[in-house]
Amino acid sequence: MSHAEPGGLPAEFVTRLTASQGALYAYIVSLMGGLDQANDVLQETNLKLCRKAALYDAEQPFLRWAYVFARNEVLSWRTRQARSRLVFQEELMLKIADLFESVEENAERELTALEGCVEKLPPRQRELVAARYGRGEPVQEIAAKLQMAENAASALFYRLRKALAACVELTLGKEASS
Amino acid sequence: MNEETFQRLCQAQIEGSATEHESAQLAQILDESEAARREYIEQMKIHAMLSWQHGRAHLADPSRAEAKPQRVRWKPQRWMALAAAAVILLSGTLATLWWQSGAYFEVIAVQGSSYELGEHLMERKIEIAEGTLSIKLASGAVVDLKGPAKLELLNSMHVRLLHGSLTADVGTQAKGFIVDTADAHVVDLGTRFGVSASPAQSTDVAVFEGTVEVYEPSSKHKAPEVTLNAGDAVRISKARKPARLKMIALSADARSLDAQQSSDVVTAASDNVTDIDFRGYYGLVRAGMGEGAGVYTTGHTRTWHAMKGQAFPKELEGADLIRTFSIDRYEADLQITLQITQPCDLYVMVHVRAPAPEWVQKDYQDTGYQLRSGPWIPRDTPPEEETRFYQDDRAYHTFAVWKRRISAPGFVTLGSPMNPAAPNNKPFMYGLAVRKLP
Repeated sequence: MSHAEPGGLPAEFVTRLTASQGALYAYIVSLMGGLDQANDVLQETNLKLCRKAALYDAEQPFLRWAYVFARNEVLSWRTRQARSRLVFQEELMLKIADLFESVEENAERELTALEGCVEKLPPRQRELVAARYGRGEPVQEIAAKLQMAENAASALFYRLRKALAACVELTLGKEASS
Repeated sequence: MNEETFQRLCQAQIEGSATEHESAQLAQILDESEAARREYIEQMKIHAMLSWQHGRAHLADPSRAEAKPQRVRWKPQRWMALAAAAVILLSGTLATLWWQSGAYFEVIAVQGSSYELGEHLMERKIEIAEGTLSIKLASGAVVDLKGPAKLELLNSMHVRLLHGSLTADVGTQAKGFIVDTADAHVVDLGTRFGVSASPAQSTDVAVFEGTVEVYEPSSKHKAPEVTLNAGDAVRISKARKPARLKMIALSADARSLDAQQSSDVVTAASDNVTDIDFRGYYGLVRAGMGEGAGVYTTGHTRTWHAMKGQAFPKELEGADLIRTFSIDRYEADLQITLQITQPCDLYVMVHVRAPAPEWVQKDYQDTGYQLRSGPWIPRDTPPEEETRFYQDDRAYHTFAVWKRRISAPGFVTLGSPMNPAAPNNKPFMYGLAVRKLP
C-alpha cells in the first residue's frame, strides 16, 4: 500500500519481482518438498525482498539475489515445524538449493514456455493437465475416471511432467540460439 | 533402488500422499545421487509451475506482500458435495424437488425465529423478521442469517440475498460458493465472509478469513471487479465501482457483520491511505475489549491479554474495541481519523519497545496499565528484545495503555506507530479502544 507521498518501490524492482514469482514459488516448493505452506513462505520472502529493495543492484540477476532470501525463509519456516513435518534434512535441502540455483534460467520465459508446451500437448494429455491442475482433481480420482490403477495414473503424470520439462528446455534452447 | 521405485516415491511426495517412511526413503536417494536430485527438481518445478499457472490469476501484487494472496491449493471437489446432496435427496421423498430450484439444509442454530433446531428442510426461500438463523447446506457451507433478512436458495452452492445480512463459512469443502445480491456476484474461494444487502440498493462485502472474488451481477464469466483478502471490505452500489469500506461493525465474536452492534461513540474511522487497491477495514466490536479480544482485522491469532499474573484492567474491559490492521505500521505519514459522537476516553495501546510516538506523548496520558498481545511468531523479533516473553514457545509483546479524554464530539486524528526518534525499531501497529464517559 502506498500513500500520496512517494517512497514506494522502484518500478523496475516491482517488475522483476512480479516476473519471478513463479520461479521463486517453484524453488520454495522444491526445497520444502511440496506445495503445502509454500505460498506463505513465498509471501514472507516477498516481504523481505520489498524491505531490502533498496539494496538490489539492477545489474545483478534478480533471481540469484532473490533465491538467497527464499532460502533463508525456508530455513526460518523449518525452525517453526515439528521435525516430523520436515521432509528433508537441512544438509539435503541445501544440496537441492545449490543444484537449483546452478541452473541458468529466465523465470518469466520458463513459465511462458511451459504454457506453450501445454498447448502443444495432444488433447488427451492436455485434458489430464486440465483435470489435475486446472480443476484440481487428485490423481486417484483421475485414475478412477480413466479406469486405471492409481500407480499407472501416477506414472502417466510423471511422464507428462518429464515431457513438459523437455519441451520447456527445448523451447528456451531454441530461443537462445535464434 | 530402481527407477520405478524412485518415480513412485517422487510422485507420492508431489501428491502429498507420501508416508513418513516413503519421504525418508526418497530423502535417502536424493542425498546419495545428484542425478536423482536433478530429476526431483525437474518434477517438482513443473508441478509447482503448473500449479502456479492455474492459481496465479488470484494472486495479489507481490509488492504488497502483506496482503495475503489466495493460496495455491487443490480445489475441493465440488461435484462430490453435489453428489452427496443428490444422494441425500434422491434417497428420500424430496427427490421430486431436486430438479426444482431450492436447497436442502439443516438448521444448526436458531434464535427468535420459527425454525426449529435440528430441522432438515428443503426450501427455496428463507425469511426471518428478527433473530438469527444458522443453516448448513449439503455442500458443507454454513450460512448465518441475521433478521430481518430474506434469502433465496438456488442450490447448495448458490444463494441470493434479497435483503439483510449473512455470514458464510465455506470451509474447504464448498469453495466456489456463490452469494448473489442485486449489486454483486460474490464467489468464495474457501473462506469466511459477510455480505449485507440493504434496501438502499447497496451491498457490503467483508472478508474475515481467506479470499473472495466480487463480480458485477450476472457477469459470471468476466474477470472479477475486485478480489478481497482477509481484512478487506467494499461497498458496491448500482453503477458504481466497489469502494473501500473503511469501518465495519462486527459481532461480539468479531466473526460476522453486525450493523446493529455499531458503536454509539465512534461512528466512523478513516485514514489517509490513497492506494485504490487497498481495501482494509477497521473493525468495530461494541463492548469487545477484554481478554482474548482480537488486535487486528488481519491475522485473527493476535489477541489482547492481561500481563502475566495480573487481571485484565477493569477500566478497559468492555470498552468498544477498534481493530486496526498491522500493515499500516510502516507508514510514517499514516493518519487515522475517528469520528467521535460522545464524550469518551480514547485508549491507544503502544508497544513499549520504543518511546511512544510524539503525538501520543503530547496528547495522551500513560495510564500505567500494560497489556500483552500475541502470540507472535518468535522470529518476528530480534533476540535481544526484552519487551516480550515466551509462553508455550510463542512470543508475546508488551503494550502500554495511553489514554486521552475526549470531552466534545468531533474528529480525532491519530498518527503513525513509528517513532522517528527510534527509527531502527520495527514498529508494531497500535491497538485502539474507546469508552463512553458515564
